Amino acid sequence: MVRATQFEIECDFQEQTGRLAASGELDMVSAPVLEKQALELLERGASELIIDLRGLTFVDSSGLRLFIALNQRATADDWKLALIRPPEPALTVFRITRAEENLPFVDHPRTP
Amino acid sequence: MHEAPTEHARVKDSLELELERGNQAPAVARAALRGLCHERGLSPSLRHTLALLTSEVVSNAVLHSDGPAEAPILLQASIDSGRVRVAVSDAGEGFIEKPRDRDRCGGGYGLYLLQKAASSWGVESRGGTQVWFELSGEI
Repeated sequence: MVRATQFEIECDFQEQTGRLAASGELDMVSAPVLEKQALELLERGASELIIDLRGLTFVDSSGLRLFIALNQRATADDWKLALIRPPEPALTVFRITRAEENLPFVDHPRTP
Repeated sequence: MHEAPTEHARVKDSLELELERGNQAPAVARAALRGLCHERGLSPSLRHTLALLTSEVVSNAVLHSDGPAEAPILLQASIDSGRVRVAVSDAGEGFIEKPRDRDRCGGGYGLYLLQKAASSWGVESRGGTQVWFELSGEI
């Protein structure tokens, strides 16, 4: 039995707003992929980064570390980060660590 | 004695799975446990916590074991009266438990999560390293 990490990202950049929609499992394999996409949007000049996590079925500490690092970077470099809240299974790591209280989760995607 | 990395599973009240030490090992472990949980009807919150802690412990074994790269990781899980026990063994010589540095966002969350969410957990070193944890009840 071999089951690889299931993960996909959709990416969009318009009017200095970068949007990423992640689906599948966020772990030690896929977190670096999402990080690379996020950093590319910031290098293109995004002043706001919206990461839609509604499609995630699982997040471990690799994902937690990524979002904490992005949030710290947003504060330090003065850009805006929003994380669209994932479903329950993927919220577990944020609840146990209480990071849910400190990360910029939002319930619904913003419309332009 | 382990031969070449192979994977085999018995899914009933318990599971034993030999994982190739690679970056897909956590996903394979999670999938195997999902099958076990499904058969035993565990609550969603228990299943989610079980998947998370297992993923963390297997990831640690993949990334940090000082055993041979080709040595497989052994995942064992059992469910008895609502109590789940998971053990992950590798060929490394163990590690020193260190508290997580709150000022650093890198590393250290695996054991922190065990401390926060497991009913009990531990590390044993006898011809390799085994990290085990137990979950019970509605978590």
